[in-house]
Formats: sequence, C-alpha cells, structure tokens
Amino acid sequence: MMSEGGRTYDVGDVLPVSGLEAGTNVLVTGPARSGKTTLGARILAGAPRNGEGSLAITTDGNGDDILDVYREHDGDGILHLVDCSGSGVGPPSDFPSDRFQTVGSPSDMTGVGVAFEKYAKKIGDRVDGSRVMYDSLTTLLQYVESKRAYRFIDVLTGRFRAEGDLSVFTVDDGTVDERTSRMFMHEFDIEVKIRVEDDVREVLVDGHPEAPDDWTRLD
Amino acid sequence: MTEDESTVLIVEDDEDVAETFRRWIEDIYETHVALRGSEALELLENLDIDVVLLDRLMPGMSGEEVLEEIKERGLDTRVAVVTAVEPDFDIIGMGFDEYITKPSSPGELRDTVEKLLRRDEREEGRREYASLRAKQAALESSKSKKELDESQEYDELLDRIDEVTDDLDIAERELVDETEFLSSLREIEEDE
Repeated sequence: MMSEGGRTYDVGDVLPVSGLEAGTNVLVTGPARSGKTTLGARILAGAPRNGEGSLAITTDGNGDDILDVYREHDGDGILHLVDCSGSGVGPPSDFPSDRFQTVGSPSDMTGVGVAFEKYAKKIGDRVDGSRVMYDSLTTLLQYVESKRAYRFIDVLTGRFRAEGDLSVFTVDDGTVDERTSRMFMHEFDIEVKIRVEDDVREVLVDGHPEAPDDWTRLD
Repeated sequence: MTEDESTVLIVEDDEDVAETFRRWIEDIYETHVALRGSEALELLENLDIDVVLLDRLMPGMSGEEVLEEIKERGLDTRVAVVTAVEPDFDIIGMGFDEYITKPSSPGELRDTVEKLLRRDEREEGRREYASLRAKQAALESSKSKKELDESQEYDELLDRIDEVTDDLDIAERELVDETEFLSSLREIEEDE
C-alpha cells in the first residue's frame, strides 16, 4: 500500500527503525497516559532538520503539550496546528497565528480536510514532504460512530499516501473496543504499540521488516 | 443519440455562454440548459440529472441559493460551480462537489463532467469497502480462528474485499485530487 518513490522519513531518533517510506500511515496504540501524544510529537519534531513540514491536528485541545514536546526537540521549528476540539481556546502563547487553524468539532470532517489543504497550500514546495499527526481517534469516536470514523480514516490516509506524507494517528486501545481497533488497523501500514511498566516506557513496532521482535525502551 | 447515457444540466444566465457549453458537450451527454436558477430547479425535479454545471453569479437566484435548494430538496446530483476566479477550498465545504474556472475549451468542461461521474462510482466503492471491513471485524472478534476457517460466509467476505480493493485500485484510493478528497469527506458526513 505504500507509494513508490525513494524518499524516507528519518525516525531513528524515536523508533527502533531507521526510516519510514513516504506515504506510510502509522497508528500509535496504547493505554491512556502511556505517552502516545508525546511519541507523535517527537516524530513531528524530526521534520525541520530534514527539511520537511509538520502539522498536528488535535481533537483534544492539547496543542500546548504537543508544542512543548516539539520545542524540546527542535526549537520552534515550523509546526502548524489545527485545533478541532471546539474548545474555543486560541493558539498556544507565543505561537504565530498564521500557523494556527481551528475547526468547530472533530465531527467536522470536511473542516479537517480543508485545514489540511490550506496547510499544504501554504507550505507548498518549500518542504520535502510533511509529517502529520492526528491526535486522537479515541476522541473522534466520541463524536461519530465507528464506521463513519473508519471511512474518515480511509479517505484521510489515502490523501496522505497520495501526498507522500508520513502520518501518525493515535488511539487509546483501552477505551476503544477490539472490533473497532481491528477494523482501523486495515488502514495503516505500521502499528506502534506503547506500554509502561515500572515507569519504563517501551515500544513495539509491527509491520516493519527492520523492527525488533521485542519491546524496546523508549528514551 | 449521445455516446453516454449521463445527463448534464447547464445553469447559466448568459445565453451565449450557455449555448457554447451546450455545443461542447451535447454529443456526449444528454444536455439541458436553464437560464435561471428557478428554471434549473424545475428541471432537476422532473429529470434525472447526473451533473449540474452551475454559474455562481446569476441575477435572481445565485448559484449558492440553487445549491442550497438542491440540498434542501434532497436531489441526488453532483454540482460543479462555474466561477470567474479560482475559489477557496471552502467551496467544497459549502456543498459544491467541484469547481471550474471559466472553461475555455470543450476538453476542460468534459473533464469536469467525467471527473464527477467517475467520482460517484468510487464513492460507492469506498462505502461498500467500509461496510465489508466492519463485517470482517465483527466476525473476527466474535469467532475463533477455527470457526473462521470453516465459515463460508467469512471466506466469501474476504473474496469480496479483494474484489472491491481491486476495483477501487490503489491509484484511486490514493486520492490525488484535492477536491475529490474534500468532497469525499463531506459525503461521509452527510451520509445517513
């Protein structure tokens, strides 16, 4: 399902694989508060040094958290944010308003699509691909039923694949039932599982030939 | 006789422009012309129109008002707005399926009509694909591996998924076209 073409996204600083092909869609799964958003934000933070764009779409109004992680790893970078939580809270403090968009609700799927296209148009040819995070599908499922959510993911991942982007979606596998997460997996090339044991965070990458079979510690 | 059984309605207040458009496509599609929004709605109620090419700026009912009525009345048709300047992406959020800026050749106009006709088929395919995946997940989470292996229903389901996937074709699932991407999202929201 991955697109042809040689370029890869360097994610070696976060995941136990060196690179992911352009057009790869990743699903990050794990229990609540296991660090899925942080992991996604760290993957986004790899964009500037590789000459790529980055966009975070948040359903939870946690743009601040994403930005904090991002800044730790790459200054201000050129992160763009789309807040579709409907919280009405503006951009994080000190964040340029021209890199911030709002969508009324996670259920406004067209609004999310339009925000993505506006981002893509703005960033244009200045970047070599984009890293896009959608955080989180758990929240989306509170607004729309699973089949509609699935169709949304189908179209969104199709678009990211067409654009040669790297996408990272998050889902809380403790909240979402097995049937739903099983269905969602069909749309993703790679699953990154996270677990926390004795305060140690570990990841397991599924669907990548290079990935170790065992859990590896996340630094 | 036309080459294609599809029907197109041109809604354009400038009679010369409307006639030019008609000449460009009437060999291919059954083509109708309305010079006013109200007339367009009447035709839409009485004829089975697949694609509407709608002028945005018209005296009387504007293109947006006609679109609103189309949605209100639940008329099943694809609508491309014809504009003088390139519009924003928001045009898709408003409910138009496609836009075309002042078509200057028959090819351009035909391409737009073709694009909308094909899009219908693909969206139907995507909808079925989602239903099949939902069924698959339901079976897989309620039955054991042994039960699945022995289930004819499951076997047929997997075959059908392969078929639909092939039909959709990877290239088409890639959503290269931004307006198709956006109108597909809108379709998901609007679906009952």
